[in-house]
Amino acid sequence: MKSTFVFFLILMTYFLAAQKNTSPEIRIESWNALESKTLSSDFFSSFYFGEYIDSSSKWNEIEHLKEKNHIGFFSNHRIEVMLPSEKKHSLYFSGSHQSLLGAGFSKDLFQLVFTGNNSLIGQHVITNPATMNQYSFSTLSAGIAWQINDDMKIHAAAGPVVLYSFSRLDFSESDFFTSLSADSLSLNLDGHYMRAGGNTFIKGSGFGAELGIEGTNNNFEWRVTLSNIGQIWMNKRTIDSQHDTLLFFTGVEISDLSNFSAVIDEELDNFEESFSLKGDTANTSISLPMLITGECRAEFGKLRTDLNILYYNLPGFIPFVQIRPSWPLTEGIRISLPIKYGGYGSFNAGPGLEFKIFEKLSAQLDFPAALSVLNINRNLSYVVVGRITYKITEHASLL
Amino acid sequence: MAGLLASCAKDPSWDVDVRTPLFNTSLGVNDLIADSMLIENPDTSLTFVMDFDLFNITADTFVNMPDSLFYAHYVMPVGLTVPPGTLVLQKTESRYYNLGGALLTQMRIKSGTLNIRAYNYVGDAAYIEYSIDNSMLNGAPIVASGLIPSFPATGEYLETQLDVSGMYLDLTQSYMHCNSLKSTMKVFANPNATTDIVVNFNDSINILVEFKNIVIDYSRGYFGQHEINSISAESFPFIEDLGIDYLDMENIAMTLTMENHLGADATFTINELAGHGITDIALNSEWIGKAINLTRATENPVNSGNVTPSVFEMNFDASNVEAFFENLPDSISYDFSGTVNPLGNISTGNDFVYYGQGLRGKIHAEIPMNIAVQGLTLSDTIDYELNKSNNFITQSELFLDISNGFPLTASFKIFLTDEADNVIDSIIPDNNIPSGTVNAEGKVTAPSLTQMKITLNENQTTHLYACKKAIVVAKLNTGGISGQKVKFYPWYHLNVLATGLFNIFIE
Repeated sequence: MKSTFVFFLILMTYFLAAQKNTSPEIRIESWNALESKTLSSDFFSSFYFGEYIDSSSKWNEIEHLKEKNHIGFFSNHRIEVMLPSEKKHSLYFSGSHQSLLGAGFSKDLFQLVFTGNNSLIGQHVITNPATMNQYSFSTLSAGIAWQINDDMKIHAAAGPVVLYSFSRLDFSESDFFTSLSADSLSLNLDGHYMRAGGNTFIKGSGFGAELGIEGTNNNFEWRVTLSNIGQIWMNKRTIDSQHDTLLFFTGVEISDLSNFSAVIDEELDNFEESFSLKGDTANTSISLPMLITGECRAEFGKLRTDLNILYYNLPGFIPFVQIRPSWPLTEGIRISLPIKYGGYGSFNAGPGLEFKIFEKLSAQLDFPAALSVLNINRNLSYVVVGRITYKITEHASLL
Repeated sequence: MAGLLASCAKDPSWDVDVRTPLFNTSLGVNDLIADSMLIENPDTSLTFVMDFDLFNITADTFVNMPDSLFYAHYVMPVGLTVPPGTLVLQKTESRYYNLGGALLTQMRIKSGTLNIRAYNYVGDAAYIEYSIDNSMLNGAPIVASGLIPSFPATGEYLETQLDVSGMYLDLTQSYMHCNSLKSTMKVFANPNATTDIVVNFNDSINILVEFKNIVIDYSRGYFGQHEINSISAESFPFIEDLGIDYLDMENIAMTLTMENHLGADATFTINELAGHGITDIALNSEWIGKAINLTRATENPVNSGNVTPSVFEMNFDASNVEAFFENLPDSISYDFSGTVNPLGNISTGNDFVYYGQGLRGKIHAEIPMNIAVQGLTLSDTIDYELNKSNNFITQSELFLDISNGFPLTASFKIFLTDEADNVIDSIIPDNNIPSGTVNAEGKVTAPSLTQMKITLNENQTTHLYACKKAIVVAKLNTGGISGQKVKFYPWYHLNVLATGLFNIFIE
C-alpha cells in the first residue's frame, strides 16, 4: 500500500510535468532517525537484535540513565511538486509517509523492568514518564503556491490522510512499591491507553493540511513549513482504555489450605484483569502529530551552510537541529559535515555528500551519526537524511 | 517499552529478580485442635478435651419384628358361579410370634413396607383386601388391597406394597396378650367383570404377606433376658491427627460413662480397655473386670419419648491413663459383656426402647496443655498449578519470615509430588525455628523471629513447576530441657510470612 502510494505520487508528478510541457520543481526528502539521549547504542543493539542482556549491561545502562529518558524513531518520506506558472499562483502537490515512535520512561521504571523489584525494595518506583506514541500514516495534499513578490512564496495544501497504525500509552501517574520486608506489593496503575484496532490494513482516515513559506534574501535562502495539521477518525474497533487501579498484593491469606489453589487462581485472575488494557472500543479521533520544518541556506564563497530544523509535537521530542557546512570537491560533488542536536537524541556529527546526478537533478545524503558508530558517543543515535531535488527555479543554487 | 519490544526483529532476553509475597498464615492452638475441643483454665492456659463414643449397643440387637406375617393357600372345595364383586372368602386370625424371649405389647414402626404377593388360579381375576386389625395408621387400621389377575389366563400375579411408616401396633390381640397380630383377609370375585364368574372345584389362591425393611421406632413389653458380648476396636484419631512422636503429660482426667437408654435393667463388665499406639497398653483400673449394675431408663410420661437414661460414670484418674495417652493411641479396643434384664421380667412387661437407643459407652478425657511434646506435626497438602509462561524461571529463593510465639521449636520440610502422589523433590531448610522466649513460669514472653532462606536450584524450580502438590510438614517440639513441660495459651501463634525471590528469564 505504501509503495503504491509513493508510486502514484511519482506518476502524478510526471503526468503533470508532461501536461504543462514545462519542468516542475520536485523535491523528495527522507528523514530517518533512531535516537536516545541516554540509552546506549550497545544496549539498544542487544535489545533490538535479540541478544541476551547480561547483568553488567543492565546496571551500566542504569548508571547512565537520567530520571527521565526517551527513545524514539521517526521516518518521514516526503515528496513535493510545485508546478511552474507564468502567473503568480501555481499548483502545489505533496505526499508523505511518516512512521513515528516515541517512548518515555523513568530510570526506576527501566530498573524495574530489566532487573526486577528485588533491587527496589523499600523504594517508590515513580514511572513518570511512562509513555509511548506510535503513528504510521500517509498524507496526500494538493493546493496552490502564491508568489508574493520576487523573493517570497507561500503555499497551502490539504488532502486525505490514511492511518496504518496508531497507539498511545501514558501511565506516567503510576507508581510501584515493594515493602521493606517484601510482604506487600502495590501498584498504582493510573493512565490511558489507546490503540487503533481491527484487522484491516487501514485503521483510520481523515484529512491533513500544510502551510509553507519560503524566500531568498541576497545569498540567504529560507523555508518554513507547517504540516500534519489535521484529524484522523479511527474505526470502531479502536481500543480506548482509561485505568485508575490500585493493586495491593500481600500474598494469599491462608485460612483453609485445602483451598490454596483456588485462592491463588482468584488472585491471578484479579491481577490479570487489572492489567488488561483491552478497554472499551469505539470510534475515536486523534490529531495528527504536528510537524514544523525549517531550513535556510547561506553561502560564503565556496563554503555553504545549511540549517535544518524539524519538530514533531510529541512528548520528549525536542527540535531536531542540523547545521551542515559543505565544501565543493569538484563541480558535481560537495562534501559536508552535518552536525545535529535534538529530536530524541543529543549532539552528533558525521559525514555528508552531495552530488549532481545530471543537469538540475541532485542528491544529498547525510549521516550525522559517526560519533555513535565510532563509539565516541555512547548514546544511541542513528540518523540518515536523504534528499533528491529537481529544480529549475531562479533560486536553484545547488552546487 | 512494550511497543519497542513488539517492533523488534527478534525478541531480546534478560533475567530479572522478582521479589513477591507468596502467602502468610497465623497458626494458633485452635488451628491444631478445634475450638470445640479446647477449654480455658482459670490461669487462661488451655485444656484439650476429647469426647469419644466408644460403643453404642442399640435395641435392635434384641428387639425385632418377624418378616413373614401371613401365608395362605385357599382351595375351593366346590364349584360355584358368583356375581362380580361377591365376597367369596373372609378369614380373620390372631397369630402369636416368637420373638426370642421378648414379650412385646406395643410397637411403633419408624419405616418399612407391607408387601403382598398373590397368585390366582381361578379362571378370572379376584380382588383381595388384607388388613391388620390391631394396627393404627392415620386413625384407621391399615388395609392393603389389589386385583389378582388370573394366572392361568394371563401368566401374571399381584405384587404390591404399602408404606407402613408411623404404624402403631397393639400386640396384645392373642390369648398370650403379646407378640401377636390380628389380621383379616377378604377375597372378592372380580368386581370389574361384566358377567357372573365361574369358580371351579379345586381352584386356588396363594397369598403371602410380609414386612420389609422394618425399623422400629418404639417398642414396649418385656425384652427378655439377653447376654451381650461385644469385642471391637475403634479408631481413635485425636492424637494421630497431631502426628506426635513423643508426648509427656500429666494431670489427665478421664471418665468412662455408661448410659442406659433402655427401659430395662442391665449389668455389664468391662473386661478390657486398651489403647494401641507405640505399643499396646491396657488401662489398669478398679473398674476393669468389675460387674456393674445399671438401672433402667425412665420415661415420663409413658409413651412421651421423654426418656431419662440411667448414667454410671467410672473415673480413671487413678489409673495408668497418662501412660495410656502417652502411648499415642490411634485405636482403642474394648471387651465388654453384659446382661439385659438380669433379674427377669421385674417390670411386668413395661420395658421400653426408642429408635437408636440402647447402651452407650463414652470416654471423656481432659488433658491440660501442660505437656512436653516432640514431633507435633502440622501437615497439609496444597494442590497447586503453576502455569508455564514464556518467562521461564531459572532459579528461585523462598524466604520464610517466622514469628514463633509457641514454646516449641520447629522444623520444616516441603515435599513436591506429582498427580499420582509420587514425591518428586523435597525442599528441606537447614535451620530449625527456635521456640519463643519462655520465662520461669513456662510462658512465652517474646516470640522468636527467624528468617529462613531456601534456595531452589534450576532443577528444583523445574520440579516446582512440574509438580501438582506440595506437602508442607512442620514438626514442633517443646524447647528447653528435654521433657520440659510447657503450657499452651490462646494467644500463642506461629506467624509465617513466605516471600519468594524468583530469577525470571524473560524472552
